[in-house]
Amino acid sequence: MIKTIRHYKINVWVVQVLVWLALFGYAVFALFPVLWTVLTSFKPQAEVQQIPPTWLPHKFTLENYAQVIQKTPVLLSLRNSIIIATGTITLCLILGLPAAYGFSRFRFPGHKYLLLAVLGSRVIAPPALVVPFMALATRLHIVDTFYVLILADTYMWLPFLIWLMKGTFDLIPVEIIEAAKIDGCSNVGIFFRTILPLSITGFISVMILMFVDTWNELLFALAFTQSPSVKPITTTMLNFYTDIYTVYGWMTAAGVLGVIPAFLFALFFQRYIVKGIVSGAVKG
Amino acid sequence: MVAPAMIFLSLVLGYPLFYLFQLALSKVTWRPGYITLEWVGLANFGTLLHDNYFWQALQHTGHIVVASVPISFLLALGLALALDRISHGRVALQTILLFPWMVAPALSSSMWRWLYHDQFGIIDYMLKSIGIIKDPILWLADPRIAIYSVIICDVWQYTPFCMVLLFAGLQDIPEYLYEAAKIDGANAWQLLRYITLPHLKPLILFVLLIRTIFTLRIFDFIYTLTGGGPARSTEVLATFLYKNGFQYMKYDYSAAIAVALLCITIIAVVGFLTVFRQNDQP
Repeated sequence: MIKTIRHYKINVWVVQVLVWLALFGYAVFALFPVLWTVLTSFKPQAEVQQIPPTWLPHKFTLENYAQVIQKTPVLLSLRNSIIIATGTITLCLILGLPAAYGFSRFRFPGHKYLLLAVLGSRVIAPPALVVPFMALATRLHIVDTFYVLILADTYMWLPFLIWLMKGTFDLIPVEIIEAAKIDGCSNVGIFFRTILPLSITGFISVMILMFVDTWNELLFALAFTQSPSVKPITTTMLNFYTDIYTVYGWMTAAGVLGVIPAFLFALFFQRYIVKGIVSGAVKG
Repeated sequence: MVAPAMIFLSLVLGYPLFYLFQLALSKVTWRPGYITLEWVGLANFGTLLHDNYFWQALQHTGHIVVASVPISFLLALGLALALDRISHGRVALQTILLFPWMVAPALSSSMWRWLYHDQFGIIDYMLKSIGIIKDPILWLADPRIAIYSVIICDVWQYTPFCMVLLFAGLQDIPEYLYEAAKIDGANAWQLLRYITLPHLKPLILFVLLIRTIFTLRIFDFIYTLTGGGPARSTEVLATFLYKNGFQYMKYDYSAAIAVALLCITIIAVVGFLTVFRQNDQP
């Protein structure tokens, strides 16, 4: 325990407790909306709209979940979200990993400008591209399909992936690659046998970032999809907001269901992202 | 090896970008089934400059950026420094603090809508029961308050990610620097001012830049929480653009707003980098 405390850190226990309390205070703020939503989702409709509100559900019920699953396309949307996220990550990796490796290892004419252009392309806000994307998708006849969302999301993430992974690849000493070459490894072999295993931390952190971000994407889904068989969870959620009558029990239950996959995926975040993203983003 | 990605990007990006500028410089006549473009030069931008709604949206966007970016950055820095100093429960706290980041804005706005509810909302209830307010605050329905409600959500959502980045940077600072400074008699403030912050500088720039770019295009929270209302009091550039394109079917005008947003982002980024570069040379 003592080992983890650095010298410059304040070791007076009063200060430790104060700092801890401050952090705890913010943690309450961070967790409260989620906690309150979870609690609400387990209450029957009458109790949801009760004044004064109850903190813990008096009558614990799974009715909201049952109703939401039976009467709304929430499960279907969750499936769609998974398809879109997986498709995006796959396409990004197929295109992005070789590109990042190429940028990291080889110098070719215009190398610097091309890298800058890749990064710079992200300055363009997604809302700006919605209308032209729509025109492109209409021409390709892929409006309201998974393809259009996967393509659009890939555009969003490919530059980041190239950038972050290039940063990670840059940290691998050239000597290792030279050694592999002398041992008779091909370029492809070097990539899969030495480069990828050595940059696994950065790799996983980028995967998690991509998954969470694609899962959370709203704008493109809103613009390009309509049918329930394609709509991801983010746009399906909007069906629950009506100004006239909102069933808050259902809305909160659907919200909880929608958060779970991203949450599970991101639990790995702890271990990998901190090192992965910093080495990729900042030193790269 | 770089080629496939470049070809993809130039196709997926190049054509839409070209089309965007084409639209912005044209008058679009839209009939079901086909579209005609007629070159009008900068006319759309002329309309834009005289459109009060555009200036309003720009002002609201600026308001959110100016409030949300510094608040979430300072909170994140404070949290990261605090996390770096505690000896117990660090991993558990970090997991909890990170939680808002994992929740999609479209989903968390469903949570916030429920918290902000003017009849059954828990926030109003708590404020009432400790006697701060008598009448419920209409968090999302009052034009004077709605934008602050959005800012609260935005800070809640994006502080954790900034925190993780800064925390990671803090852990990268070599220990011996602190020890050396302490031997020289530096106090806590001096350690922060002359060792921690200078080392964090590239990361701080990165966090601020990313947050500014992303807040300039804020869409999800506005669209799902207030829809730009009440009375356009939370209309931002992105929602203004989206509505013009997809609800009013004014593709040409929407494209012009998009180009304006693009220019504003570029100006912000360049301005940002210039300021930081100047500070680099004392």
